Amino acid sequence: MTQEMATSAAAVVKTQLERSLEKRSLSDLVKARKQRSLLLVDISGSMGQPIRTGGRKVDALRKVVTALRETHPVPVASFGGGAEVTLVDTIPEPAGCTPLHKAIDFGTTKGATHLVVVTDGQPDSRSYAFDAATRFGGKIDCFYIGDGDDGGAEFCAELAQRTGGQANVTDIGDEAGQRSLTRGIIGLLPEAVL
Amino acid sequence: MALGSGPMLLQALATLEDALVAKADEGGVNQELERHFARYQKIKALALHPATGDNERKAALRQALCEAIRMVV
Repeated sequence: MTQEMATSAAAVVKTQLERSLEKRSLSDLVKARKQRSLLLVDISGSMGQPIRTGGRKVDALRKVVTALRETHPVPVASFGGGAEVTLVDTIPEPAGCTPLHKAIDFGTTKGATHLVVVTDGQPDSRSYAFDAATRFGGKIDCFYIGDGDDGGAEFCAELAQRTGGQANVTDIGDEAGQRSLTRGIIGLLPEAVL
Repeated sequence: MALGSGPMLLQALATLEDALVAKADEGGVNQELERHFARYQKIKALALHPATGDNERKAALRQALCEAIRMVV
C-alpha cells in the first residue's frame, strides 16, 4: 500500500469512528448500520431545463452523483425517462413524466430501508406516491430542486413529514449549490457505505 | 514511510465496532451493554478529539480498545 493510500484509508476509518460517535446509544448505531439507502433521482423532461451557470439541471445532477459516489457507493435509481425506474451508473437523458410512486415501489422491491429522493417537480400522482410511501414503510428524505414556496416543495415536505424524513429545498444552479446537495445527501447516508 | 501504529489501532477499533454491531444485532442490546457503550463512546471521543494531547490520546485509544474487546468478547 502506498503512503497516499494508507493515509486515505486511515482518514476513512477515522471518519467512520467519528460518525459512530454521533450515535447516542448502541441501539441507534445498530439501526444506522442496518440502513440500506437508495438514491432516487428524477430524470423527467423538466430536468432538461437549463441552469444559470450553463448546462442543464440533469448535468448538474450528474456532477452531484459522481462526486457523491467517489466516497459513498450508494445505489442510484432514476425515474422518468424511457425506462421509467432503473438502477443506473450514469444518469440517463431526461424525458417523460415523474413516476415517483413507481420509484418508491422499486425501492421496496429492492429491499431498501431508506430512500433519498432528488426531484424538481410534482409527481404524476400525489396519492399514488403517498400510497407507495405507506407500502414502503421506511424513511424518505427529499431534496427539492426549485423554489421553496411552490407545489413541488410543498409535496416533498409532506412526503418527508409522513415518513419521518427530512425535506430540503436545493439549488443546483451553481457549483456551491451542487456541493451543498452532495454534502446534504452524504449526511443522510449510513456509516456502512463509507 | 509507514504511518505508525496509531492508524492501525484506529482500524482495529473500527473492526471491533463492526463486530459489536453484529453481536448486538444478533443477540440484542441490554441495559448493561448500553452502559458499557456509553462509557466506550466517552473514551473514544477523547481519543478522537483534535485537542487531546498525544499521551492522553494514546491512553484513551488503548482504553477504548479494551472497552470494545470487553463488549465484543
